[in-house]
Amino acid sequence: MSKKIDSIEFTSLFILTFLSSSIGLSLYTTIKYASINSYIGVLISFITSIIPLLIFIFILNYKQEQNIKEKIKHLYGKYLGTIINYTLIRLFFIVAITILFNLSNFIVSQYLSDTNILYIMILLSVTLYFSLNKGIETISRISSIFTLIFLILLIIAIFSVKKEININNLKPFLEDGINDPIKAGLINSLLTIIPCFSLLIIPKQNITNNNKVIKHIIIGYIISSIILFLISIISNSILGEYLIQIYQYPAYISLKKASLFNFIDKIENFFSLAWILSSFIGIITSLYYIKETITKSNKQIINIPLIIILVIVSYKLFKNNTIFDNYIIKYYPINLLSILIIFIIISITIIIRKILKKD
Amino acid sequence: MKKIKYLLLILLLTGCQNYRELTDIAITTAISVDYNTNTNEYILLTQVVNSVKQQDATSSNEPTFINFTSTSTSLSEGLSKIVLESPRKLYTTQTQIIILSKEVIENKLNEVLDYFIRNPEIRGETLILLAPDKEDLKGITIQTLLDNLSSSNIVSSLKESEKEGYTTLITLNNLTDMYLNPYKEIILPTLHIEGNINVADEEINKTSTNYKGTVKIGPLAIFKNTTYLTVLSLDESKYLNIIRNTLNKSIITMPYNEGYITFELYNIKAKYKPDIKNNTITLTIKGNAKTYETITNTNIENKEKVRDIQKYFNKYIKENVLDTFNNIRTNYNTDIFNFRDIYHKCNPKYLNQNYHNWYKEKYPKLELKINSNIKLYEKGKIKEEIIYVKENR
Repeated sequence: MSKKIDSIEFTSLFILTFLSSSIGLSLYTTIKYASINSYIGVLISFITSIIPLLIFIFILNYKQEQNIKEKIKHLYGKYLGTIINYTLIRLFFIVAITILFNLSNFIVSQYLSDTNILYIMILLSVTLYFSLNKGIETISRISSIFTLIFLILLIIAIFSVKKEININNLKPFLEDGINDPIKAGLINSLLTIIPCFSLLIIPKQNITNNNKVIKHIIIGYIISSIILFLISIISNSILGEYLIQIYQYPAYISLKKASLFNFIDKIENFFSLAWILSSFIGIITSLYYIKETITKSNKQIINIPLIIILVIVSYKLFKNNTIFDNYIIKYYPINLLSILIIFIIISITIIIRKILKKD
Repeated sequence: MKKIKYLLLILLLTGCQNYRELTDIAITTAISVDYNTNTNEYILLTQVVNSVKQQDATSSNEPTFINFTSTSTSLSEGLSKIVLESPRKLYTTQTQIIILSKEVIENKLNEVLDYFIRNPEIRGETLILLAPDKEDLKGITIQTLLDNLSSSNIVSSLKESEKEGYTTLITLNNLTDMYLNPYKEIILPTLHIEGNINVADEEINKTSTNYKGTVKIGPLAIFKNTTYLTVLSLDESKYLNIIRNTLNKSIITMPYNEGYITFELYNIKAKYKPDIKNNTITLTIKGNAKTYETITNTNIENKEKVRDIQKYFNKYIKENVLDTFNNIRTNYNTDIFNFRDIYHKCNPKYLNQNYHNWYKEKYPKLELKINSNIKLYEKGKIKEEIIYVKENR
């Protein structure tokens, strides 16, 4: 089976993976750090994410016929390369369990409060299993349709909520200085762009019309950042400084006020559907990274144990959402930072090799 | 392998544990909450839709809703205790209104908000009302004719009253925000019962052209912290809504030339310009007004006269807004106008320094300057006054 995907499909994978942490993880942490100025944090993260984005593009362009697993082995040799690859597997596995728990927790807390979270996880994992079995071509095709649906649903949601926006709620502007929004911005950068590094498992050569992929990724990055900023500013301006801090999913709550043409209510469900789709892709890209790194060929045998372990670890590790909330603030950014550091080291190695003309 | 896939697919078709049959749930549309300070217990009254009632002759005499009561030291326990009386579990997703007593707001507002805002079944957009008297809590037991459910009747009436400027819609989210925000004070729309409540909850209330007992939406109630102060008059409510920029439309009657003119205000917008250094807020009111009635013996075809009326009307608005502000400030010393919040948003440092002496020093000396610029726009179907035409032509 050919593993060729289109550059638009690759970009849609990038957009959805970027947005997979939008309302649950990203907004929650930026609000925790910067309160009503969290939208400034998101704005700052647009700038700070440029560096990881450049690293992503740089690594993608290096040895275009190889995926990241092979690139690492090429750069560091078999022994050290395997250690780095397995470290990355562990780190991306943590990304997958985090997004899975966050998504399941969202469904339980907002829709199915009497349902055991494990049941939701199992339902999601069945769908994950099927998608993973189909391979990257199907996943990327799904994601390109999802992206279109996501953007349409989001535009509907934003359009329907514009009456409720109260810019006065965004004041006072930077009451406690710029430090907290900067912290929020840096954390937000990690939360949004780092999971996208899992896409490096797709060699650039496997992308058809790959001469346009960089341009598409940059456009995708700008679109995702604008969406994230809009979600943040809308939630802040609708709920205000005090309400936004008490809700676990403020973006979802703020859209509850919306109605389209005064007769279509419950618009928030459009948005939550879009977010569920993006989280789904976020988990799949991480799992696909793990699967491709572990197996030599496209062996589907790994999918079942991988998904079973994912569900068990996610369920057992986060015993309740208080533990999960603390984990998101304290430990998850460290995990993402570790991924970033590894990729920074990889880029530095590539630069050194290029200087030394070893490649 | 295919069989396993299909078996797994069955999982997706089973539904979740939240699934409940319609015949197993008691659809709740309204909840009233009272608090007994002597026994430290909540007294809950719920309105549940009678889903068994059919559209046939045998059940035509059945009420469209049933009320259940319960008492308990905690809200969740109180609501769950209702199953002792009701054969079905309460389903609160359709709750339209929550009516709170003064005692609840003064003693247990934090607990009530915590329960309702945490409950995933209850939407943050649920409307909140205050029952100034204990009897008013029974507003959801009254049989009404135009709406089958008294809760829908209250909601419709409340929304129409808000459109006319008599009150303001306060949702669960709004109330939580007013409670949590240290720079805001609480206001709530009220309801009260008129007539005989003992007959109003019976079917007989719907068989007469005049209700034996009915529930009416009242003006706004004001608070300081969580202490209940008073219920404003209808006019004060309107002017308060102008100051808070929550009035869009309203009817105002102005005495003029030994008669009166009634205007309908619309597209009203209020803008603030705080001058923190001089402790002054300039309020600019803009909008349009239609002439509804004019009994003044004036030639309203004359441009100069209309200009005079407009000027006089703006002065009238300005005086009334200022009077409302001064009366509330002098009599109750509560900042329900959100001026403290405006100061905080403009200059948080200054406000935080003066937070504790706001009510002692800053607020009593605050000067409210008003610019009213409401334009007289329409006169209806006729150009002139009937009285003027009759007496002068």
